[in-house]
Amino acid sequence: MTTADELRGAVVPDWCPGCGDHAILMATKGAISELDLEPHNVLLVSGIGCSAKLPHYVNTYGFHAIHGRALPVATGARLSNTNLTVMVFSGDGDCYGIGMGHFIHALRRNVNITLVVHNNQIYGLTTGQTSPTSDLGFRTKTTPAGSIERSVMPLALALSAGGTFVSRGFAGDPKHLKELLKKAVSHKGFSLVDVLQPCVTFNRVNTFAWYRERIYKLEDTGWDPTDRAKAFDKALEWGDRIPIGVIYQEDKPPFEDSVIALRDGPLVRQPLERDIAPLMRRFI
Amino acid sequence: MASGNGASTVSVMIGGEAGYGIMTSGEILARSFSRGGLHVHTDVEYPSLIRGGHNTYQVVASTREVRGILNRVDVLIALDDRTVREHTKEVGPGGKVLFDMYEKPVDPKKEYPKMKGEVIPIPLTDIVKERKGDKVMRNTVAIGACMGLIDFEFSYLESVIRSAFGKKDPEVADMNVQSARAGYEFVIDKAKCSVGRMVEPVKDAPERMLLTGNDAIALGALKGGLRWYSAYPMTPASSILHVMAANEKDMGLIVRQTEDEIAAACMAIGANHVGVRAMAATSGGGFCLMSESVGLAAMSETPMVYVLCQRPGPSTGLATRHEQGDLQFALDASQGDFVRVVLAPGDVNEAFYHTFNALNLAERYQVPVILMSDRYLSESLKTVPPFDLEGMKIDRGKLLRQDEIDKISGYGRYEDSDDGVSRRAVPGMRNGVSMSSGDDHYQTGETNEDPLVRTKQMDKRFRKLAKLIDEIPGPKMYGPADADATVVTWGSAKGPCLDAMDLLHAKGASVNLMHFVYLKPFPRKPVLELLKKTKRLIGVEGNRTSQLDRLLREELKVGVDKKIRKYDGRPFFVEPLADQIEEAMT
Repeated sequence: MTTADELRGAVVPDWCPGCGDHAILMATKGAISELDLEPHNVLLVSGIGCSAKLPHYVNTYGFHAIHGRALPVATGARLSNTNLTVMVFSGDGDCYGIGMGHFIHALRRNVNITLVVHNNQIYGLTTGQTSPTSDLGFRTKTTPAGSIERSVMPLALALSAGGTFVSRGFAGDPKHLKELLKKAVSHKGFSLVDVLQPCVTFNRVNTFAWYRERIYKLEDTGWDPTDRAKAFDKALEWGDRIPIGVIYQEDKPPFEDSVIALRDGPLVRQPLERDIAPLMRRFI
Repeated sequence: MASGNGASTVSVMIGGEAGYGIMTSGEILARSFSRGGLHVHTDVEYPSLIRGGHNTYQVVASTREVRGILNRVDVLIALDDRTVREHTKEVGPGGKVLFDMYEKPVDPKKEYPKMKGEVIPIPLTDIVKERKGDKVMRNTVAIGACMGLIDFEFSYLESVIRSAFGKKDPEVADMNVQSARAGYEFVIDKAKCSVGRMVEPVKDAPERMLLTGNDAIALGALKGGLRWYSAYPMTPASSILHVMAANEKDMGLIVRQTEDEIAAACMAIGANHVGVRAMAATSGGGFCLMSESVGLAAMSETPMVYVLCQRPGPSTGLATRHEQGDLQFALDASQGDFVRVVLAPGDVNEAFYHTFNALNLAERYQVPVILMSDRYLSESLKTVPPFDLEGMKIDRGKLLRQDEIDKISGYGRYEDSDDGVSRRAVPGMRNGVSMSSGDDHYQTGETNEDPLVRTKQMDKRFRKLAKLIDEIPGPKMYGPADADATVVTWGSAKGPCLDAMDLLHAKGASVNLMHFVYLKPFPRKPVLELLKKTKRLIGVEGNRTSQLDRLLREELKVGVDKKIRKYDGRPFFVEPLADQIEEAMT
């Protein structure tokens, strides 16, 4: 087993002190270690934003891509080498803003990838602008009079798009988050972990204290995560009470199972040379 | 019909509304001529709609190689009135028009006074009705009639119809053969209007393939070890996606139709990143969306091949027509300075071999490669000898094997090297754990903004150019070495230029051709060498601003002396192009 400490990357995180991202990093390393994944068989893919720096801080393979496009990169990588555990680290802007199209299609495809969204309801790395998950009325540099757009509800969207593992974690509870990530990575198919991750520099409203007052754990309420209709209600619960944990999980064959080319093993193990003469004959 | 140099050539066009089966009929005609031992080239013209409108499919068949489309039409198969009206100019005095008299039962001479060719009314619809066939089978009767008219053995047409429909349903095949034969016999026995042999089948012709540029691109990529293909449908690139999807199972690759072009490109980058050969194709609008990913491939040094099948822009432009208007876009797409390869195969044969080479170049230099085609090359069928596969070697460059990386300590994905290309481990390999990034980085892949590191990494990436430029082939010369004028062109304009040049040579003109396939990095040395021997330069390009000429001026400070440009949404036609070149020579 690789310990969480051995999984530490070569560089020290440059996130703000106290940022929720540190807890996500800790939980991620803990989950990789406790699931006994070999670091060379783990690929962490990210887009752009504070969240996207995470792969640099973990001693596994990593690909730091472009804004909003981590999911397609991860999809190509995972389907080409099904021996890899592929995790995507994204943010509320990266995933629910610029990358929203890929988010919906990734859910309906159900490729075996774990998507972790660092959701702080604000754009951090660009120094504090409104985000798709900012609450109505939220004041930022770009919404000085308060946001007049309704926020997206990522978990409800995920359910409607056919998500087979839909969950929410909290960066203020890394232990709970680690267990959630372990479940998500172990899930056969696409798993979403939306993480409430306070931005301590630019979001003075949705702070650790703000979330602590509101969140409760679904598992403490005897929640049954297999009822999709009830899960919709739960996914829309936001305000005085905010649920965390697995909202919905469903056993469905992952995308990989239906791909003909993968019946002979991972694509990357298949030889490049092939005989195209029979195909050429079809044009004669 | 005689076409100089002892060859005989026939140009047949079938036209009608979309939904009449024009494409299928055109292809059957082309295949029949090909089975009859002739060289064939086709051109498809259709508007962006599914029913109605006006579609044409032109087939030029000859005893010599056909590389360009003729303006002249010898036999016009008109399934509607509009086809006669729109193509009156193309039909000369010796030409024939097969016209469905059910469509407009009037005196053709009064109806089409400007038509120089002979209009032959054929009761296509009645023949179909007699046989209790569907109206859509009119075209089958018509192509049978066409073969009767020019006295081309029915057996070739029959064999093509049987292979086209036979697999699905032998009864449907029989019905189509009978309909075609009814048309054939009507012309010979009843109308007695057969004009005799317009073109002679060649009995002992060598076996040839008949395929489009897109087919050739797909075959070249499959030969090159492609295991991943992703795309979003867009004319004229879509048929690559169709060919790939049809062969997904047999060829063992993953083919994905994605949510958009960004996903198509980024998925292919993800696949390439883990060591699978992957490619994405699109047209100009889709390539706009893919542009950001071109820079990602460059910065992360991920091998990546883009296929850009051009059509007229800007914006949606003419969605189903032809143009070569994206050269300057491809040369500079995506922000920042980086090394890329841009190439534009000139014909079906080159499309095959250079797609194969594009995959090798991308992997050996770990750079993005943009392979350009266009509507004319992508969708026109052409006969070629079966590809010679001898000596085609897949070269994965500095991709490490597990036993190699086991011997390396302190591996870094972007470590410096003499040729700028770093040794490459991919996820899944022990001992090679590293970061790849679109952010600029230290040699281990970590984000780094130190000015010295930035300069060093930029210089490392650009060092690839030295070796790359040495193996980039210069433009190829065709025709006599010493000529008074040299036509300069790129990509698919090659074919029409070559055939136009043949016409000019027959008239005694002194002209040769310089054709560019590889455009970036610019093959400066070989070009300068060739320019020592050239005199007057005549640029031929399918765009408004002479984009190759702009490249020449940027790279060499000299451009062409005379520009021939076409941007009407149609490819170059051989005869008018020859006239324009002749005019430009003086």
